[in-house]
Amino acid sequence: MRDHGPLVRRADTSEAARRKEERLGLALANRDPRALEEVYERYGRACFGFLVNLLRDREAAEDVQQQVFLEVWQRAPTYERERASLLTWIMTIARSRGIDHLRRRVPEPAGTLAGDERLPAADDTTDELVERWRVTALLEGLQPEEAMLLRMRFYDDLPQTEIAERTGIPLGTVKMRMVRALRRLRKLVDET
Amino acid sequence: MTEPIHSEAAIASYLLGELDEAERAEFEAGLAVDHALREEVEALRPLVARLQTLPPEAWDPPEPPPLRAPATEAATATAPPAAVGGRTERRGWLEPAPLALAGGLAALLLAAGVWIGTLIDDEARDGAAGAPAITLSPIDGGDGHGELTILEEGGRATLAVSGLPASRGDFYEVWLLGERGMVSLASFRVGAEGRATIELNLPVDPSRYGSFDVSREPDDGDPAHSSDSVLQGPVAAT
Repeated sequence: MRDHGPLVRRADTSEAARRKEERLGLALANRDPRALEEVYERYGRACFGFLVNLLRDREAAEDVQQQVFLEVWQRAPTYERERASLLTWIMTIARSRGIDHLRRRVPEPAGTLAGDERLPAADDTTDELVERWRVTALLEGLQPEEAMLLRMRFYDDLPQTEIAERTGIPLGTVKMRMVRALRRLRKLVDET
Repeated sequence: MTEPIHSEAAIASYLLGELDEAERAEFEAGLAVDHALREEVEALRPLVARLQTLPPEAWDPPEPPPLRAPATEAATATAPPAAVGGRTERRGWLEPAPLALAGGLAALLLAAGVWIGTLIDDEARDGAAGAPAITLSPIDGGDGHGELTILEEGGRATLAVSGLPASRGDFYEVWLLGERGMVSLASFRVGAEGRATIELNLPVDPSRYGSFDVSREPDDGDPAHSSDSVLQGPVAAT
């Protein structure tokens, strides 16, 4: 079984997470550089994962990632919390910049630069990717033990009986926690 | 299974496909008559399906590059060229800020590395003295000349152009071009004198691209390169 570290860092309750995100959005809109750093800490990994997935080119994804967060910084004063969560907003920007990158043409006079014209990813595929990586980001909003259970079940592909054996947690408790983790994640998906 | 078949714990087992045939049939019989249970199962089912199809890398997302965080130090800058707004999305950051915020905003944007090309004065240009310049030559026998200088502190550059046709309902855009794609760096206009000096930020490492490029862009809202390059010079000269 793999290490469970990266996805079990944060344990906000739904309400606390909502208030925290509100404050974060406000600080970002007020041009607080620390807010940008925190946003990056929270959502940078999922955004980058999405871009690597979409572009299939880590170096290109690194460049687009910088573009995305510079745009987040610049457009922060116009961000409307009522319309979308920070995560959704950032992923929307990432989607646009990623597609921009795929669509870009190398101009004719620059033909010697060996650029090629690539077709943009199909919208439904891109949207599915966005949603996957949005869920990935939201996993970090779960309680650590909930995130661990989901990881063991869906990443390590362990049945609940084996999870109970490996963790020493009673099977009934594993099942209860599993369904509660799913409920909480569902709530985060709906609200974020 | 030890828990009651319609218990909370059974929901997970059902959704995860961990009930045997008899248990599943019993659970589904319960679903048929228990509206609340059915509602909950249906609400969770798409999430379970999504989790089951998450790629392995989603559980261990790749480490992102360090954020080029905005610096807090003050920077001086003039407002961006007033007339280059009006295109869509990517160009949104070029729109003039409200006057009351314009000074501080421009300073912050520059500090953040946002790609605004700003017309600069002689004093700022002097800061580039001594740094190697990259010559941007006209494409296909066209007019104009450019000298791009990457400033010593890195991440910023100045571009001086001359001999370009005056902007009339269009504008010029500075790009980095290479096999990995292209990055828009700044936009500017030139007047009847055909010259301008701008300062621009470099949000990416230029050495990973092949050329600096100046294109002429119609103000049509299309953020893509127009394919109408007027000046170009190799990054390698840096």
